[in-house]
Amino acid sequence: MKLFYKITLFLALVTAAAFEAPGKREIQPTIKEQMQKLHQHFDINFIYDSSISLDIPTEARPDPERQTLEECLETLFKDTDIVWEIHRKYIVLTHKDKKRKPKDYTIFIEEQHDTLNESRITALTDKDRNMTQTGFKKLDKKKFDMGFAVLSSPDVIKSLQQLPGVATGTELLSGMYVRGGDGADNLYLLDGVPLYQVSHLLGLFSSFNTDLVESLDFYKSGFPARYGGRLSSVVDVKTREGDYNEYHGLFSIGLLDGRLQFEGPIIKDRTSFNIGLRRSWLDVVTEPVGLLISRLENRDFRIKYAFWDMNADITHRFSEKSRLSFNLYGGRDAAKFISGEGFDYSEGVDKVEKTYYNDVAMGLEWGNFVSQINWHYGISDGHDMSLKAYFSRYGSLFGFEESEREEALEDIQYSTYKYGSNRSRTSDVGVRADFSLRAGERHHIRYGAGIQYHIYSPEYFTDKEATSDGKVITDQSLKESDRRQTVEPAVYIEDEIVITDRLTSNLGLRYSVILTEGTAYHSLQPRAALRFGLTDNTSLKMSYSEMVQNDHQIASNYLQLPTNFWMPSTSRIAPSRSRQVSGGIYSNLPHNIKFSAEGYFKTMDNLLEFRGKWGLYPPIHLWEEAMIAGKGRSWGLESEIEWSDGKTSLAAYYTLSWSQRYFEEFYPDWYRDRNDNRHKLTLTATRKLGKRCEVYGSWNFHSGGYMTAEAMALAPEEVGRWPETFYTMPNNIKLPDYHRLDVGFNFRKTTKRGNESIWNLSIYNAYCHMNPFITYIDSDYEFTKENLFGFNFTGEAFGIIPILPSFSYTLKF
Amino acid sequence: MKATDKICLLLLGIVSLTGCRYSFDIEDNGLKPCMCIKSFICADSLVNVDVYKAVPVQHAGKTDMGIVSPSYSLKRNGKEVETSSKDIENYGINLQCEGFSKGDRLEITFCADGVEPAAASTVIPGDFPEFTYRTYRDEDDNWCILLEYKDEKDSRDYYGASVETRRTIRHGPNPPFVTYGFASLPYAHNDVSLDQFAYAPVVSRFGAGDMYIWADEDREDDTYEIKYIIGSEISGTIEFAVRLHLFKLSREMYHHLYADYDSSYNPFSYIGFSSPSFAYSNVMKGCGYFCAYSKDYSDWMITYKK
Repeated sequence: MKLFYKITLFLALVTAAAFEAPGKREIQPTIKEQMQKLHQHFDINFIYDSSISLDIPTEARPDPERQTLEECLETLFKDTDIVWEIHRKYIVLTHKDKKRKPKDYTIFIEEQHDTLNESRITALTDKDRNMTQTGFKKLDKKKFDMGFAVLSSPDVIKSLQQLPGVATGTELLSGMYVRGGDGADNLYLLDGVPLYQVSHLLGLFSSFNTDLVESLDFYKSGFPARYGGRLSSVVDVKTREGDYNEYHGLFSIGLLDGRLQFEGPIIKDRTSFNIGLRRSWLDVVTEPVGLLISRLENRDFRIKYAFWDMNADITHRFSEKSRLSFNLYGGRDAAKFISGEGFDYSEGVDKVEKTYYNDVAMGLEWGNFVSQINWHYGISDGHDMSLKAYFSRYGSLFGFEESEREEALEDIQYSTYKYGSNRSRTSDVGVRADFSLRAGERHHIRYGAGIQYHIYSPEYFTDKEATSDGKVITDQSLKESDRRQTVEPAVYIEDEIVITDRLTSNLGLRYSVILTEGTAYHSLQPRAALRFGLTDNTSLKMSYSEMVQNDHQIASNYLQLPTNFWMPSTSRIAPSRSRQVSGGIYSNLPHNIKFSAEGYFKTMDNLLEFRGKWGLYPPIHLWEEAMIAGKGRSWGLESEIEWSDGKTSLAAYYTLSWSQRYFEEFYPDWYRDRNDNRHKLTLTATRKLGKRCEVYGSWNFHSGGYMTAEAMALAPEEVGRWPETFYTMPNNIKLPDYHRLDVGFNFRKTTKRGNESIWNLSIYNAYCHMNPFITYIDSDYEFTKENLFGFNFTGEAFGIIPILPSFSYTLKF
Repeated sequence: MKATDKICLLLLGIVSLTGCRYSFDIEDNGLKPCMCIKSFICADSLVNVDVYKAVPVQHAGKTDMGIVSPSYSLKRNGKEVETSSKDIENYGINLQCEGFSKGDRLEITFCADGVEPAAASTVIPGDFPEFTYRTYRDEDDNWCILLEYKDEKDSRDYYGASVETRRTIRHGPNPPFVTYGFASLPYAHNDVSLDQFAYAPVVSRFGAGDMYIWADEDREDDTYEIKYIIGSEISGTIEFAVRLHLFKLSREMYHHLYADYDSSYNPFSYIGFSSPSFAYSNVMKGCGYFCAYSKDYSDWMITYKK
């Protein structure tokens, strides 16, 4: 792929240069960039009308280190036609000639922060309410830093799991089951490029390094037409460009991982870089543990696990209108387990001394690689273009090796050798063009097109050899692979229309087609969202959206094991499709209270479930037979209430939901989904204690999920005989309710050199509630007068995550 | 002990303390006593339908498990069928009637005090398609049967086969004796087999042996070529014969056997990490199975004699 990168980079540079006037001149920082500085230094947010142009260069140089906030703002906007006002932690910007006294300081925002126009908005305060779309949530780096931290390492997916409508599945794993989804139907975008797998350590950490995340847009419904390819949610993660003027970064060390981030100019004011590295050092613990076990048990025992990921961004600004960036992401998990033992014994009348050896090795690897090149160009005032070319690959490997041999008098009596591996690769090459056009004051039109070329190549290989007295008695090998290629073009158009002062709509249409095995699946996906402002503080919203998913995760279980792989829709397996209606009320109540309540109804067709007969490994060449298609439906009500006074923030998220499945081959009627958590409640609180300290806590509760077990019994044939048991329906046993409390503490300090250092102490599961990880029905026998047959059945849960205190130290430089 | 060893021991101790097993209440599942119907109905054979009262497992033995005031209805093609009934062990009731023919649609409903009425239906499948077979020994010296036939994929039929074996064995000076059994089948993904149907499900617990089942919906075309690997010669065998049984299955029977096999083979099925594929039951408001099949071919094939 090196050639691909070179060609793409070359073409992009040439194209960009063609739009650029010749000659080199110094580029001054824009107002927006200076605002960003103030935003970072003073922890303030800017609110402004999108018609205010902030991408213009400025000679003003506010100095946050020496000036107060007011002085900085005065310096920055002195020679502009922008008027500023401070309202607590928000700075409201208005035009001089349109100055007005708003009743509500948050009504100026009509702008969306998306991949097309990522530089317009510095921060938004109430975007969730003012967006036309339903089911939207925006998170930024500050929310990650102040929120949930897995072992003191902030995590994107864990933060999203706290939101209403998101079921979490198994304890601590990065499962995200949005509004009845199946977990493989979330569109994870890293700077616009889809990722197939987003977890480290089987889901303990997600693949997104929050040090480089600028913002995250999360959609559960009301999907804009520019998004497509998955059924249930969109997680659009954008990384930050590096600083164009100064070098700085951070170093962090935690209980399980370490992070390093560094950014700065390559060519001042023109080219910047931003690079982030993260690596776990669990292997530092597991290796010595293995050695210790080897020593104690006198056998070979080694266990090793590590993950790493890397983000890199280089951005070059040709002018205020033209910007070229190159992004790289790579991440890998690797686990290895080796066990070997041997023992002596004697056999036969002659007591022949023999030695038996057994060696087992197992390895797992998985990871993503993404490279992309983006060119952003302002065609004219209000008309932007973004071109993107990318390559991404998700790969996984599960390998197993076992050998046995028996030796007598140094002769090998017999030996067996067995090797098996599951390898899978999913590669995407794509190009996309997105445009954003502001047509007058009432229309914001986005349109674009893209094409993706997918290659799916799972592979299974096994080799088996057996010898007896030096003679080969078995030597068999089998290789299975099923390479598939598809092409998936898509076009879309959407228009954000201001119909009246109170009524806005976002209407869109997305068309996509997947060309697979001579079959073409066409899909037209209408998207519509409507927002009506009841009052200045209260909005009603409604949306309808259809989404299509053309590829499917083939998994034999609900764990994110490397034996899972992705395959496209084929002539036998059609794309999945969802339809969702959503609507609600969104209000800013007095005393800084925000409230929203949103209901939804969603249907899903052509969902896939694994038949189960192949156990751990999904079959490679018969995978289409292994999956059966069914339907899903879900409905519910989600409510959020938030309050903040600048120092203290409180939030409560509640979900009341139902989620069901219909797979005729499992059961001839609708049955509960395993993540049918009826109630979900999350309470969060953050509090600033002076300038240096912050504390936060969150309490998470949800009704238990479901498992399938033989739950009905007949009378036994006689006392003492075990009864015959039966299944009734899938997911018939409700698991215990889930709840836990996380607390954390940040202590900030300025070092002698003027750098900021942060000590984070966090406690996961503070009151040590052992939530179930593995559940099953257990039985025993005890005859009593009350129990005529003497057998007892009980639900058994095995929890593995107790209270987990952890710490991290972060130094910003 | 070195300091590093002490640290490692401490870490091991911490890790071992993290796991915690506890019991949870399985009362709150909305499960109620229900009827359990058990019946494999063979075409043109005496029909036996066993009915029981099933209770949630946690109540088994602690509550009355007898069927009180039973009433039932068995219909063939919409018309009531005369049946006789008798009590059987396990507090159950056995219904009996004359055999049904291929193509008959059967419906049963069963009511009793304290349980919701249960209902199930099935259709007795038709004839197995015309087929050819040959027996041979493969390169690994395994006895094999290759079965070939054609059937329209769209007919959505379900099939089963089992192979019974008969061996005459001599052990040392003892006189020869005859042993009967059923051929076991290659089934596991790890067991290397180049048989393209090595992954087809093998279902035990039907009759005395394993049944190999497959369906039109698993096929890409109308041609069927089923390779049945029986196994290699056993030392001491002086005569070896196999008997092939071929079945046509109802859709319900296919799914029931399939799920039964899954439940015993899926390593994740008991800990809640896998699809609930093993939970199939065609008894509405109840549990169990009400299935039909036709046994179309059964013949001994003497393939080896020393």
